[in-house]
Amino acid sequence: MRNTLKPVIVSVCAILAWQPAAGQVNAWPQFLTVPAKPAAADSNRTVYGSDQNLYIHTFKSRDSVSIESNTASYGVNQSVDYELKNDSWFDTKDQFYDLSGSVVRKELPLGLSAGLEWTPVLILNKRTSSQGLLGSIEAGPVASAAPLGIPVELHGGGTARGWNDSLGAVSVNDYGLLSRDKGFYAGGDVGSLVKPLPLLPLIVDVRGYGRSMETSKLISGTAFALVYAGLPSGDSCFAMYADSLTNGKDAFLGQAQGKPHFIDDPEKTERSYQISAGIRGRPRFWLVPGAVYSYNEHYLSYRDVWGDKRNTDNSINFVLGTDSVFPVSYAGGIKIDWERENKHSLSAEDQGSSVTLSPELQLMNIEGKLASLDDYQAYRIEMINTVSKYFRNGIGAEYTSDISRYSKDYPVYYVSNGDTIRPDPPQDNDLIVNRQKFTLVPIPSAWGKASLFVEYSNNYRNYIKKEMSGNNEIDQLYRVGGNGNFIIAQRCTVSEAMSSDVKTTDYVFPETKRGSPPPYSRKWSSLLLLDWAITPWLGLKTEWNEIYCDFGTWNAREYLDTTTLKSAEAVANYHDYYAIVDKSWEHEIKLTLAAVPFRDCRVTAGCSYQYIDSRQFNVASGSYDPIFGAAGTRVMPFASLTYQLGAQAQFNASFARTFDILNKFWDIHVSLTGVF
Amino acid sequence: MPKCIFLLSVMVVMSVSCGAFAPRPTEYPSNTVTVDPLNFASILWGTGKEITKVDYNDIFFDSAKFVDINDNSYEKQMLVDHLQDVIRRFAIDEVSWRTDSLTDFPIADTFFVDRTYHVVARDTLMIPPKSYQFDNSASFKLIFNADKNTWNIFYFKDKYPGKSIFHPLFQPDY
Repeated sequence: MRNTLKPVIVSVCAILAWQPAAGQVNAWPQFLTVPAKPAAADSNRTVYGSDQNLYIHTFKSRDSVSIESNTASYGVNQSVDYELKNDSWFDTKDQFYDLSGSVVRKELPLGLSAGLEWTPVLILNKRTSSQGLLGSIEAGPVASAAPLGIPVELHGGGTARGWNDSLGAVSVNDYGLLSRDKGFYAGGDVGSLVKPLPLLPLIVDVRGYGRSMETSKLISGTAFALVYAGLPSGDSCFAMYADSLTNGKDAFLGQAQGKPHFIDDPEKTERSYQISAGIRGRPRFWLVPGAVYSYNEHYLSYRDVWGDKRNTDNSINFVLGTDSVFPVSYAGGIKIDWERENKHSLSAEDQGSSVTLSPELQLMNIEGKLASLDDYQAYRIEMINTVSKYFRNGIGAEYTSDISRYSKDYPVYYVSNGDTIRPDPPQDNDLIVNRQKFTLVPIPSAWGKASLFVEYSNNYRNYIKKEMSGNNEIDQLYRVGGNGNFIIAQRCTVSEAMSSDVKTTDYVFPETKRGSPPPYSRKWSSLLLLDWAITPWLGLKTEWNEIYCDFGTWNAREYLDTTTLKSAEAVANYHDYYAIVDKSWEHEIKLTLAAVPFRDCRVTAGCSYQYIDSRQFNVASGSYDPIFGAAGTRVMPFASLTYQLGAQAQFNASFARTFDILNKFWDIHVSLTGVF
Repeated sequence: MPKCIFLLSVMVVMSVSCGAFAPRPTEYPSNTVTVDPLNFASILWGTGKEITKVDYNDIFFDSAKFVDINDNSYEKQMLVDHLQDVIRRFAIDEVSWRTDSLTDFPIADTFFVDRTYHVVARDTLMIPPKSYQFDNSASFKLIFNADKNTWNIFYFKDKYPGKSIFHPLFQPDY
């Protein structure tokens, strides 16, 4: 599976690589960090795993065995993978078999290792009226060496596959109906993602894969380089380049209109790359500064169909943090992004050509132009500041401020027959998010710990153009809460987590929302836990959970539709109020008994009981009536068993049966994993 | 004390850039048009995720399906055409999607939510206009559409029997 899906994986990597690197704006980015060397794995082992899961109407099963045997002279790997997904609701059944393996002879002249690899894969997808089959194999020689200490691996060989996407639902006997294809493949891997080159502060890894078949041809590859150096001033410099490319077309067993369908992907080129450089300073005045610049680009181009797209992102990130000796801990950062998305039309005039397009391409040209109206350019700025101070006894406080603005503009328009065609409606907008959180830890003693927090969040959606600005709104969230954990007796602890939320919305132009007051909601929750170790081998946990929430509208005067009131006096006497449309109160008690009957074995059993009281305002009766299907009792008995078979294997089994308000279902999970 | 003053100075310097976080000037609204009168964008309200597109062609994923109580499924185009007919014909007086936090299951780029909806709509073709009220729960599967940088409805199923204004075969009473 792994080899067969290499192009797919590379494509996925390409897509992932496009996403601007995730991470905190106020911390040094992970991708500019020298990776730690992974622990060496045992090269002689058998790894097995079995995982069976039933949830409501979906059964998933995965069984695998992988045998690795390595000596100084030989290396043998063989894996057997089977995956099954059966959905009784949609009457679908997907099966996947993979028997990949390799055998390698080591210690050949010139430090070479050589051998064979094979990747047979079978996919069977069943739908209500038919089933589809795809079988493929890649097999050929492999060779590896490490000239000058640089790992190099090459592989290649023949490949073939057969498929049929319209087999009968009952059996797959008639293999003569299979469509067939054959060809060859080749690939290589130079370098390592974690190990620097000999004598150089440089990590390099280049991978490539190509496959040529009668129905599809493609190449794909990835490249990664990270260079780092220390400066005489004590600062450090980093630069990183990551690239991934897929070119060609592939085919796979998919689904169309509820039936298995062998899908030929359109021929395309997809590339993502990122260039980053940064400098990380040494501590100066107890502060550690850093600055990083990144450029990301994702490019997708089809040969015969419309859908080309290019996304670019330039970003600069400044970070600042205190060193470990400063009495207060601070981490701050500001990041600015300039983004652009550009969809390409096939327009001949745009490309400076006078070639007449075919009717089909003209149609696509129009579609492309219309889609280009969604092209945008964006500006994003985010700043996070965190200050914390904790004393040795644990008392302390922490404050975080996170503010950001994301502005998008849609600048594309066309003139056609004297009419200007613009995005409709114009979506140019700002999204401004402002979050503030303060946490206090007043009780950090050995017998208990408590924390309190206050949080405020403000989200401002600001449409620029008059066609949309009537929808401009400000959401505000107010939250207070606390957590406590106390030892109330020997082997007995109690903990409580409580929080309370209010969320409000205000329209910026309330005069455009007469008669449509904004939403308003409240929520309160409490979770009380009592944990009692009755004996060294028997424990009891009690959970009591209460959640109340309501939802409605804030009927303020500025949203009043005066035509709905009968008199001017009624308008004059009008008072703002919160109209609760629906509300719910959930009560839950859960008891769990956990026992360790003997070493390495843990058994739990228990039951949760939940009563949900969901009500909705009935305009006719003026009362809150229970909501059908959302109010009632939910009971869930459950049990689980975990058994550790020495250091080699672990067995887990859990069972739960839910008796819900209107239906009931099982949640069963059984797994066995091990290495020996 | 000098250390704290220095640190506060740094924070102040970083914070004075707040002008960069201010909204741009806005044009005064031209009318009161609401492009999402059925308020689908609010079904992810409170989850930290967002449906940023409000046109019904963009809210629903290309292979989206509406599934009724009898497990009959309808393709996106049929659903979107129907919804556009609904908002042309009906005045939506009330719409709410009640959050049931117990059934939110975020899994990577897929999100399962259950929402209880309440819709009051007036059939403007009837004289006098006839008012309907729809109350039911629906299960949604949403996936993140990276192309459009928004969450899309992939699967929309009414949970309980009853007439649904969202059903592509919905017909008003005459």
